[in-house]
Amino acid sequence: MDRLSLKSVELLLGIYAPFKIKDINLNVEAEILTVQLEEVSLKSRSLFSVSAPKKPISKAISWQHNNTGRFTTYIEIEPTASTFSKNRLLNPPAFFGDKDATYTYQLQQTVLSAHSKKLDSQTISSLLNVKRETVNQIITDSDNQQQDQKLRSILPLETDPIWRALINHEISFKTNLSSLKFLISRLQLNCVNNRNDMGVIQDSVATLRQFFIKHHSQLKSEYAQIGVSSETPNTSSQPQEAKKRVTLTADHPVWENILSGQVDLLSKNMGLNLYISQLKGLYKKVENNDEQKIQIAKELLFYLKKNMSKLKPELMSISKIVKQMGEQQTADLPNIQHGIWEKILSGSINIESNQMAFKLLLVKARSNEDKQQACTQLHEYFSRNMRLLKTEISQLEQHIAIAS
Amino acid sequence: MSDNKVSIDSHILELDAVIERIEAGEFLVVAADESQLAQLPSGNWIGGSIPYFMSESGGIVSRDKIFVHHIKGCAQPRITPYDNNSISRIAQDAPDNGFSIVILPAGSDVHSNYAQNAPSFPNMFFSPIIGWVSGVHLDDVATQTAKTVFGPGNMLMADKAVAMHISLPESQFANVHIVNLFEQGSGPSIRFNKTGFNIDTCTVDGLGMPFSDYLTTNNIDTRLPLVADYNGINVNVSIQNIAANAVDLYAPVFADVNYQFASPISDYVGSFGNAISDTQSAKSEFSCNCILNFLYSELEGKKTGTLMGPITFGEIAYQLLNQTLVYLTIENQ
Repeated sequence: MDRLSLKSVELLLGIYAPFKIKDINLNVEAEILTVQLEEVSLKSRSLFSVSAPKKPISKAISWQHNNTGRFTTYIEIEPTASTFSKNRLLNPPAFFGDKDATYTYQLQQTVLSAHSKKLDSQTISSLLNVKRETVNQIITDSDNQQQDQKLRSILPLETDPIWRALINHEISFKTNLSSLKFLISRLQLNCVNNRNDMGVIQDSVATLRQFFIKHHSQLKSEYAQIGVSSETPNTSSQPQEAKKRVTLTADHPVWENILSGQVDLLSKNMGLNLYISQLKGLYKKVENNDEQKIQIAKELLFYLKKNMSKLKPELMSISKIVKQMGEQQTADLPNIQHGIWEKILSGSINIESNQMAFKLLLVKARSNEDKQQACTQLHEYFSRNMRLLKTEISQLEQHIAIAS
Repeated sequence: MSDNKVSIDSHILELDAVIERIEAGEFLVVAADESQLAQLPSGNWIGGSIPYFMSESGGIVSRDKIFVHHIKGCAQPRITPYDNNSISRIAQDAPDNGFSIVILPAGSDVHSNYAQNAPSFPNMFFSPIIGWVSGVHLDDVATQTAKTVFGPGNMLMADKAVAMHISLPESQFANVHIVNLFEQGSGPSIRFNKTGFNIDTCTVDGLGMPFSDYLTTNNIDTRLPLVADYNGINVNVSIQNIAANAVDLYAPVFADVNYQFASPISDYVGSFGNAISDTQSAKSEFSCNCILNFLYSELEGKKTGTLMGPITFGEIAYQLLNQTLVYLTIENQ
């Protein structure tokens, strides 16, 4: 077999312009692969021009990357003036890392993706053949990160084929955001016109992924379509609450989301699509009448129940949306360990409420000798009834704000 | 930055009232005939020449009235002029959370550059960019040029774009929307081998021919735009002039994109009313419509919903559009 060219290794490792491999060092004994990169100037594009390397401004930085086979892989670069420029940091390539980090974004995202799926650091270390200290370091660093950095860790990696599939319209994907439609259209055209230029394709993927990170709050339905919850993962080591079974009633906000067109079930079932389309029209007409809106939601619910066996993917989608909505709602409440619940129980904080159920629950919880259990009951009640308890929740927030 | 909610008011005012507002330090985007713009003092504003407006009472033409979008509740916006070299920076200059309003002078190099290259500008589509192309009264097309104004320097310019970059608090985000009544018709697919405003040849269902020949031999109604489907968004390109060997366009066609002529619309006002009832336009904070819609659909004195704004020589929703209404909403998270 012919020797691999540096260009081929760049493709293998996902390295793209304006970076290229300067040198590769393989330490067979220590099983370490070191890939030295250089940044080249792309200004000159004439046929006979040679891309010139940029001048380094500080000593080399080394990041640990995902292993290449059994070889621990390091990526090294001597930074130039533009290596960590604002523009580059808006959309850093996966083979890059933070200026002060010891690992690449790709390794970071692989570890955090595994961690978000509840794998412990020992398992992740064994699976990736990466030292446990490195895995722990990545997880600890992530706890201190900003939200957008956390989002990077739950989105599919740059190397995931879903991004190319989105750009090439190979999967069904709907969005109402005009900027995303324009962007995908422009990226598709770039990729079609530069079919053989891996740099352009990788750059398009990175740009689309960055768009998802920046606009996460506006892309709930789009995140769901690529199989990701748009809420940031909880990477701390706190135990997760047991899964609860939720029974959907006609007044659940999920129906509002579906019938007002905020969420698309992406169903391939023609009957359901036509039926929803008809209900959407009716729903719009009764915009100010809550009773009639609930009646329409009941009809949809009845249809789904009646055709349950034919509509499994749609029911799964609804379940995912409901789960996301639940996560979003509970995210706004103080957690069970927060001192405010005990204060409510002890009466040192008074929450004014017109909710009969809340008053009764409070009496019941106060009579419970197990204070932890009573706090859990109270928290659970708030979590389940957030839509009814807006006034009460704002009182909670005020008390927390005063205490802090 | 402050936690105030940002919002935009729309008014049609007399010269004195606008001067008063500028002197009070308000942040304004101004549309008026050049004769009015030239009398305004320096301040926190940008402007563009145009004497056509969508008012509360319908489409109007006025050389005396001034249309003002007043941006309230925001921190000091960044106001920047852009020339042909720097316009590519516009999306990079946009705030992390916020939006940018841009005005380009019709017929200038910076207009042409933006029209042909905006989709490829760095960071484009990452922050909302909305705006319009300034123009002149149609009676003055041969004698006057479109202008923009950089308010802080009180500079009236024919060769530079101006932009106002407005930051929003964390609790708000902006969205750009378009209302385009035109849809691809049932005619053949037309492609062009180069991007540009001036087109000589095309391929029609794969067959190469002069574009002007295609238009004349097929009796194409050139009041209807060419429409491209951008991933579900219909983008128009309107025909300006047919010469013997070439066709001038109001916006560029892009190479390797499929176009089809639009289906005719018999009742623009009625169809428009239906289209906007389907949108979030009631929440619109900023909007503008196209002069060609005004002309071809005879909108003078006719109301287009509650949307108010200048009627322009081109609309910007990230990239340059034609025969399209664009509007911006500011939403709470």
